[in-house]
Amino acid sequence: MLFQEVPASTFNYMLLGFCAILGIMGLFLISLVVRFRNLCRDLEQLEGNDVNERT
Amino acid sequence: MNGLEIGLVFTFANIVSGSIWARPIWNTWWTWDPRLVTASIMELIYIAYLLLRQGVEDPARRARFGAVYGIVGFISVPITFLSIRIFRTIHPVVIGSGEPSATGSFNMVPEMRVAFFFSLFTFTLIYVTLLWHRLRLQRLAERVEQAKRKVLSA
Repeated sequence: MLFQEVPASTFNYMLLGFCAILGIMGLFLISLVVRFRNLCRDLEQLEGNDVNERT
Repeated sequence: MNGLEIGLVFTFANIVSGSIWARPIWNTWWTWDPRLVTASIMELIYIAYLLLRQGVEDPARRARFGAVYGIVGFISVPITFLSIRIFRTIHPVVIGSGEPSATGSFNMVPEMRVAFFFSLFTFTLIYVTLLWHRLRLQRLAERVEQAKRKVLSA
């Protein structure tokens, strides 16, 4: 094994790397969606309160 | 602020994928190499920046503290970039030439250059897309804040 005749197979590590990158990006995207939905709900509630107070 | 959050995500992905790359190449998941250490410190500095901003209620104070911390914290960015050129390291210098005697010094072959620029283009596109969505979120958060103030003042 001192002199390798063929390059080491790193394909599985490459797949793992892509999975890690996509996983991290996916988590961030999910956090954006969750925060967006929460804010939409807050806005609806606040605007509902505003309308109720006026009437 | 919006770009910072995405930068944190990208840096974290960079550290994790770099660790995966290091396993077959360096035969270890992690080593106390200057580039790895400075990149991790940079990530921690910007996490602290996010926490600082969330911890201050008053918008004017938050902006002032954020600006000062942002300027001081930015010092970590060039240090991280230059760490593999300044310090003795096994991390490869991919862009530009490094110290010729350094273990990781090499020039990109044309195939690597194609993969590098394709990757650069793709990640720039992902960055712009994420930034656009983050800006939309920011605008919505500002609307909610305005609505809160309106309700409280009524």
